[in-house]
Amino acid sequence: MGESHAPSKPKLDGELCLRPSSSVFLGDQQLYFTQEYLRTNSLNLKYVVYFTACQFSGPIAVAYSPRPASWYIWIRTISGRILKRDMAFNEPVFMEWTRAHCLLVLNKAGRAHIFSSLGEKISEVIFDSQMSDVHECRTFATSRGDSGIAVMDVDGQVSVVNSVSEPVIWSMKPPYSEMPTAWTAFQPHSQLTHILLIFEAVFLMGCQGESLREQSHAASWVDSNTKYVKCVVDDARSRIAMMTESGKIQIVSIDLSTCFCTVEITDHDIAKCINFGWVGNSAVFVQMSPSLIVFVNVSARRKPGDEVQIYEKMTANAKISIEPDGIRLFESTQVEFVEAASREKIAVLNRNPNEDGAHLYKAAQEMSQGTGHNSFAASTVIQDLYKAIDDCISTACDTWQPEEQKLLLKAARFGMAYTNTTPDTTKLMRAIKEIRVLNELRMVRTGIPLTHRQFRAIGETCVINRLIDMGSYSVAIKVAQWLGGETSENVDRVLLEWVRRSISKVSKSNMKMDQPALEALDEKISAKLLQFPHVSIADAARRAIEAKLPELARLFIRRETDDANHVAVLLQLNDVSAALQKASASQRPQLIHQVVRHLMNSESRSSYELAISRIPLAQCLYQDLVRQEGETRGASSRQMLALLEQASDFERQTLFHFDVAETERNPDERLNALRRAKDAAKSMGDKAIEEILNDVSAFAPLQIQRGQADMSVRDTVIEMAHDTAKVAQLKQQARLTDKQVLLWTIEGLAKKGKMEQLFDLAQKRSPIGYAPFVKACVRYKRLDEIKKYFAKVNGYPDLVAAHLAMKNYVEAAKLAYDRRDRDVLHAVHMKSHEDPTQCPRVGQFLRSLDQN
Amino acid sequence: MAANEDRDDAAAILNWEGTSEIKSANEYSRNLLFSVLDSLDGNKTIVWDRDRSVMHRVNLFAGASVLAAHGVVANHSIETKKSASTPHVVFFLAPTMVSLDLLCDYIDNVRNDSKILYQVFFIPEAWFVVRESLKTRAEGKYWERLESVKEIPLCWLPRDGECLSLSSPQIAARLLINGDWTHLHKCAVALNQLIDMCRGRSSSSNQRPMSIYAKGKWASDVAKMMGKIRNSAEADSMTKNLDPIEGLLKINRIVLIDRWMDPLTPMLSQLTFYGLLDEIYGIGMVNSVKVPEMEFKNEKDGDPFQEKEVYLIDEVYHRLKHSHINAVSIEASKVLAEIRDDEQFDRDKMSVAEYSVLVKKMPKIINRKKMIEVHMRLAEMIQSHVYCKQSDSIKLERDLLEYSDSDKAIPLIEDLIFDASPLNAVLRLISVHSLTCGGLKPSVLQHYRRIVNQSYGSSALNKVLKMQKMGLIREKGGGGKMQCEYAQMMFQQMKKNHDMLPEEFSEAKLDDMAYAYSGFSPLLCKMLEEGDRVKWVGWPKTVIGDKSDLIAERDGRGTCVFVIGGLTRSELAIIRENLPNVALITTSALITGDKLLNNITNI
Repeated sequence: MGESHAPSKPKLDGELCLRPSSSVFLGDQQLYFTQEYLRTNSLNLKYVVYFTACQFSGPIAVAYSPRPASWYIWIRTISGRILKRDMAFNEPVFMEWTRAHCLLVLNKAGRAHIFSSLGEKISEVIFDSQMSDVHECRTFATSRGDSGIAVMDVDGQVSVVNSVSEPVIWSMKPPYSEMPTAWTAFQPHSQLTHILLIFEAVFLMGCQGESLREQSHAASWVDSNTKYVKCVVDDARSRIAMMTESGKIQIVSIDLSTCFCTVEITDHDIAKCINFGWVGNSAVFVQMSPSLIVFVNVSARRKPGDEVQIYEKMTANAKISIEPDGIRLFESTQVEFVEAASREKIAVLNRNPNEDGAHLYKAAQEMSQGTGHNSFAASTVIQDLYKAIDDCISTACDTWQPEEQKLLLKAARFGMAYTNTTPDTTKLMRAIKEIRVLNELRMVRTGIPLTHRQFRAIGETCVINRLIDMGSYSVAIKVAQWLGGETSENVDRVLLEWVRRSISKVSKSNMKMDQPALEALDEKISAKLLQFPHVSIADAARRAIEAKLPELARLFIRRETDDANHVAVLLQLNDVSAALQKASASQRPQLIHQVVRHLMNSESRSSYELAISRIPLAQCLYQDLVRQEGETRGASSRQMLALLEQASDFERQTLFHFDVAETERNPDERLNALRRAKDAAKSMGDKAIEEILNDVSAFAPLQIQRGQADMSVRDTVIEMAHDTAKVAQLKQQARLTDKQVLLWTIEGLAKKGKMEQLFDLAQKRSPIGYAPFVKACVRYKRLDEIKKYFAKVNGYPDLVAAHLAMKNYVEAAKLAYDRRDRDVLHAVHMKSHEDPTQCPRVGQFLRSLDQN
Repeated sequence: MAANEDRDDAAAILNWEGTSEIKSANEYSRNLLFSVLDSLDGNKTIVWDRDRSVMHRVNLFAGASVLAAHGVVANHSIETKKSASTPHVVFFLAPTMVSLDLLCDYIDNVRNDSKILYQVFFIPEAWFVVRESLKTRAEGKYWERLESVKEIPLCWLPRDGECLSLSSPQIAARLLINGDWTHLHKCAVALNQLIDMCRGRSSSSNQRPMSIYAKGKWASDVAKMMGKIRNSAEADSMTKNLDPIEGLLKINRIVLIDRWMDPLTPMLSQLTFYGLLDEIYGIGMVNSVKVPEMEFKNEKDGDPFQEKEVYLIDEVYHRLKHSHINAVSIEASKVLAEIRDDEQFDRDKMSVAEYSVLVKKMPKIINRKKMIEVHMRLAEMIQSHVYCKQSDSIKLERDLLEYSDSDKAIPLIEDLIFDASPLNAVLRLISVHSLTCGGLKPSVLQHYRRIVNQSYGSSALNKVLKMQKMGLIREKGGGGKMQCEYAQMMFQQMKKNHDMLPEEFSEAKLDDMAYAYSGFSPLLCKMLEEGDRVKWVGWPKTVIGDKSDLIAERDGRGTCVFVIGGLTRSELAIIRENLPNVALITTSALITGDKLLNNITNI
């Protein structure tokens, strides 16, 4: 780092450190010390009474007591950025972060409060109704990824909740009156919560629903001559590190059946340490004092009689947080991370001649230093190039310094150039993305110094969730885009959380919610969302509804371009008329139906039908709905009629009644329907239709009396043709013309075989000629009678018609030909096709006429 | 079985599969269907709706044997309630409440293993009311039993290899009588699917644009809806699940036009072989026609109700179908001449190679002879029907086109009514009278209504009133209130402006726009022809997509026409024969005058 000689204002927050990591060997382990942040004076840890750091490089919380009975809690990122300051709390006795990124604070009376990383109170767990004053407290990881709490009171009773989000308290009481010399709570994988109590050298263990029982099978490794004073479960929840008063450290299995390693420390009185825990999974630390930490190798590969491997590190007022893959030291002016190196890291960075990764890395270094000829020499000794490439990629991910990361990635790419097959770049691409994200998170302005292993453990979704919890929305969006692409769902989620936070912040403040303020907020949020077209404005509107700001939701929804979302939000706001108008304007039946359904579910029929009737597009859709449901339900048509009446649609009312008449089987009901059609026609103002229906209404009752309700007027006249008086009556009732009466009488008489009456009728002068007589006789096959009436036919048109009726096409053609009537002759020729023998002869007449 | 084998054999040899555009569209629909079936692992039982149109619609793209290749091992009817043993039970249902009742009944009564997965597919698209009702019935019991509820948008049905139809003949009545605009929305959805066939499915910012030209009120509405649907998230989510072949269709623009710009033409008698088959016997959904077998065989004795089904999918039919009924024999003689040429061979002089070629050609020759016999017989039957029964009506139509008087009732129409001739024939003539004279005088209209009511009853009067509401029968002036909301056609003016009744025409020339109606050029076809000539300048234009595609814009070919409200087969023939730039013809339904009247809906 170049130092600036110009005088500058002292920085309040920390500074990212890019110094190379240092390392020490600890037997078969290699500890790496990486300084993450410098100049962290703002953390002000000197006067802190309680300190806790969130696992996976989360924020830290500290508690101060500037005056008796006066406590304040601050929340900061590891880099020193303040998330919450001077949060008042009464007599805290325990502070711890849960795995769900929440801060747990327990007071002396046994009341636990859960806060968000911004200091917002989330929930509360009350232990005090079942216990005495708090003595000690433990948190433990659960299989669901959350944290549980175990509280021991001064009487030795342990009260437990298995999850801070489900505060169901259960308790366990030891059989002895003394306090245990050591205890812990843990939840093995897929098992219930276990409580381990150690009374000097007696081990009691129990789980939820069971009583504490002595663990006799532990006798094989227990040192009964001393007292056990510390026990810590590892992050994998498979082993427990035990410490005895005599300075012995034992690593045992979670069920206390097997001891993997025993180490005896003689140089320090470790029983008096102030902190004890795991460093990764093969080493432990013992913090003797704020200025001295002893690291101990507890690898299972250690054999009895081997030399004890320890490393002593001097620190300046250090506070320690425990991570799954190491520990983090918070000192007066810096933050340092201690981890046990991975196999890949050891292979690449230790320049071991037997490791291919080291050779590849060396080759890259030579290339970057300008001595390229040496790089080829280094690469030729590599045995397994693929493994070397993978090792370099893994080491790059595990490296803190960006320049070192780049060099390692170059080594991997250098190696890919020498592979015989097309290299699979998936790992490399993923590594690049993740390194980019980690480097961004490590910036002082964000302050989350995640390691790659921690990142993989919690996943990208959890990382984004944490950023959201901290209010770092811009970083969250950037990270989501890098990991998932521009259209990642996580981007949408971050934006919507930002919208929700923005809205709830305003709604909870004392600011007056007047129109200009709402418009300003709408403008702010909408402008942001417009940069991300795939995020719906409607979702922001829904957030406003949830925050009980309907006016703001209305402002949002005006900007929504998707009609379906627009209508849905309007329905949520209960702006039904606006929703109906919007749906109608969109001309999409589904949307209109959606609104109609909403109306039908929430309002009375008369109310919603009135609303629907105001919009014609919705009205016809609703009518269709009524019609279709009526058809299958067998319901009457009254509902449809009511709709038409409400709309004063007399045209369709008239037609509606006609339709009812068509389907009605009962003659009386049919007549009633026709009468109603007449009334509707009258209301419509069409006198002509009304007049016809008047005639129908007058005629129908007599039909019903005669049992001829299904017959038309014509059919009735034909049926009654023999009764002269009835025919006269029908003529009057139905207002028939003379021509109609005569034609139908002729047909009726011929049909019924009343030939004498027909002959009598023919004696009078027929105003329609005598061709109808001939036609009727032909139709009803009265062959012997045809001649009588044919003799009476006169006049050219009638003669032609009579001949055609008798199928005398040639005779008809002759008549037409004689008169040179081409039209009639052509018509005769057309009809003569029915008779193959006559057709050619008629054709001859036509051709002769054409020739002339 | 033997007849079936013959038919399959003929189909294998002589089928005409349609234009390349129709084949692309069919491929798209087929892949929609197969992607649905293939997404369900294991064997499947299909439960078919009682509504047979669903099965017909599916079978247009895949028959039972093809479905079997995609894991369908059983086919059940939903009413038989037969148990299934396959991992999946696939319901193909029409989107109606009746079908929903049948589905619930099946779930209640059929004892299938609870591990069997029920997959419901509405064909062609789900009516949202049905879906919502399914969710709420019995407090969600049925919804929970179903593994999935989706739709298979088999919207476009191929018609004779030349046209895609939505098979919605009731759309005009729905729009005009019920005011149900949702049918326009269905058209817009289907047309967007058509665009997907052309452009592929991708985000709108990357999509090539499609120009939409619209003439008429309905067409304008559909064009607007297409744009809105294209931008909606719903469409995106719906189409995500389907992965058919994309971009098969080569269409450069879509032209939308309302049937009601020209409501007259469907009321007239069609005169092409094709059109008359549809008019007289009715061409069904599976491109077949059923005729009385006694008439077909020209026998005096036999069962008068026995029907013979003739499939209209062969090459010979394709060559004959557009011909005017009076000119079918000309085209048929050409086919016969070709057959005779193929049959000409001298056995003694033939070489072995020539002999083997002849052996390969022989099945085709035999089947062509069979097909030409069938179609010639059909043509004879149609000619007889037209000459003997329809000649008076056809002449009257012609006379009315030339001159129409709004002040007097037509005696022939009166006589037909007095004689209780078939109702649709009478109503069509009244409609022609009304439309050609620009609206009937109130007294004339009243006279027609009265005598129709007296001869046919109140149901016929109901139909007349609905035709008034639809604008097929109009009143000149007067105080009548049963008015149509759609603008009037103004036939007399259009007749002059568009030269719809040319002095010279030929029934034998297919490139004469007046041939199909014997001297009358349909206004719809004239409008399209004029639009195509000027490259649709002056037609309101909407562009779907972001930027202009100059190449597609300048290329006059590749036009898709969509007629909202129906198209007659004779009009289809005119467009096919006279507008080469129209690559694809689509419509809401292929109709005849009778179909239009029979699909008038209730309130």
